[in-house]
Amino acid sequence: MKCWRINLRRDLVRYVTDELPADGVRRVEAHLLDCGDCRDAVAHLRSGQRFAAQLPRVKPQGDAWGRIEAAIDREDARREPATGGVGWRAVGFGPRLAFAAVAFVLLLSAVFIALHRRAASEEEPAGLPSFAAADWREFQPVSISGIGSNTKPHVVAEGYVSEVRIDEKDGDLTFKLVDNLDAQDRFIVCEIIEPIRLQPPAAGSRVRVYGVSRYDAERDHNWYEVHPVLNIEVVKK
Amino acid sequence: MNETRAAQPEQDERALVLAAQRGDRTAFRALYEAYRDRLNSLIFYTLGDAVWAEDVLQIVFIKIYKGLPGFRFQSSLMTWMYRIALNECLNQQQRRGAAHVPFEEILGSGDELDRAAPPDLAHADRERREIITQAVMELSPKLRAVVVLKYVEGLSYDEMAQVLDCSAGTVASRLSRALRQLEARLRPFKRVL
Repeated sequence: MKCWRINLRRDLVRYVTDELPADGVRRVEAHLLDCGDCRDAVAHLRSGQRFAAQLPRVKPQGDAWGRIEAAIDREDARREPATGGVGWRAVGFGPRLAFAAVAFVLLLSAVFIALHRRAASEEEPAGLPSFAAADWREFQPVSISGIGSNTKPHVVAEGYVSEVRIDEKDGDLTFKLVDNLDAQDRFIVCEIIEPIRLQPPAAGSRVRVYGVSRYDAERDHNWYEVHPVLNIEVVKK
Repeated sequence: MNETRAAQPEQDERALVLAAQRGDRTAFRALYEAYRDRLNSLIFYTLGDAVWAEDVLQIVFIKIYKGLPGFRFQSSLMTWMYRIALNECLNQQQRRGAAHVPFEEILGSGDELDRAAPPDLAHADRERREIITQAVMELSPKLRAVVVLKYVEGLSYDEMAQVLDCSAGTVASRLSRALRQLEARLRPFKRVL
């Protein structure tokens, strides 16, 4: 027969986990003397607790700090121009951000020079220009729905271009990559930034996009990106 | 005296948070070191995949870094971090679609397990933990979260209520259901557990 002392039954789990005040403990223990149903319930809870207490803590296999710090650096570098830099310097980010910004500018300059050297020394390939130094075969293929499980920094993703936009703040060009133009709930945002002068793909075309994988955790974003885009191959116009 | 001792780590943590809010990367790293394993456990048990959990752990710490300037000590740092981690797990599961592996498929029947004599204690210990881990993974996400927060992380009912954004009574009710379900699932293995 089920015990109808609902309030006491509710307290049984706190009794088992030793988080019931003393007067509650007295009440429960007095009730247990008379109620076989609640004694059974306590026995089951204690047994479940004995199992649960053996659950191990799971430590990560590797130390992710290096990757976290790199992501933070990228984030800070990205944030600096948007916030005008003054706010972050005021809270003590100045030297680090300056260093990150210099490193970022140097990297982009190298990319810019590499692109122009190629343009000067080789015939311009038909269609979209490419980033000369990279070996595209080294880029990790990812699907649009599976990019979340990717761990490689350089990726290639294929899909349809659902929309192309120019960011009003920084003038950067973004486009959305989807598996299916009719169902766009899963997508990757691809961002073309200066000085990697890539022509944006046409909306509706199918393209293969090479670039750096990142997660944009900004409020109202929370999506995966290929940022910056380093190369675009048109699969179908 | 004891109160002073108990308050000291909190003060140290507060100092670390304030320093990290001012952009001190060393302080943020100290917070990462302090919470890495705890958050990884919660993420692992929520997602059920160690590799995925480590990826999400990174995203969580990046979100913590970004959110830290807005942290005003209105809750404890621990419960605030756990909430970020659980929310991110939910995002990730929605993105990917949670995988589900039936308990019986992993373990076989209780009879099979009972007949298998453990070759050594280390193996037996590992096997025991795996059995319990899988049984916990079979709980619904809400019940699993209270078990992990209570028995792996050692949170009180009130702390769990803050993390899960529900009342302490709801936490107690979920924990009660979780323990009863665990008991029922693991009853056949009681002899080896």
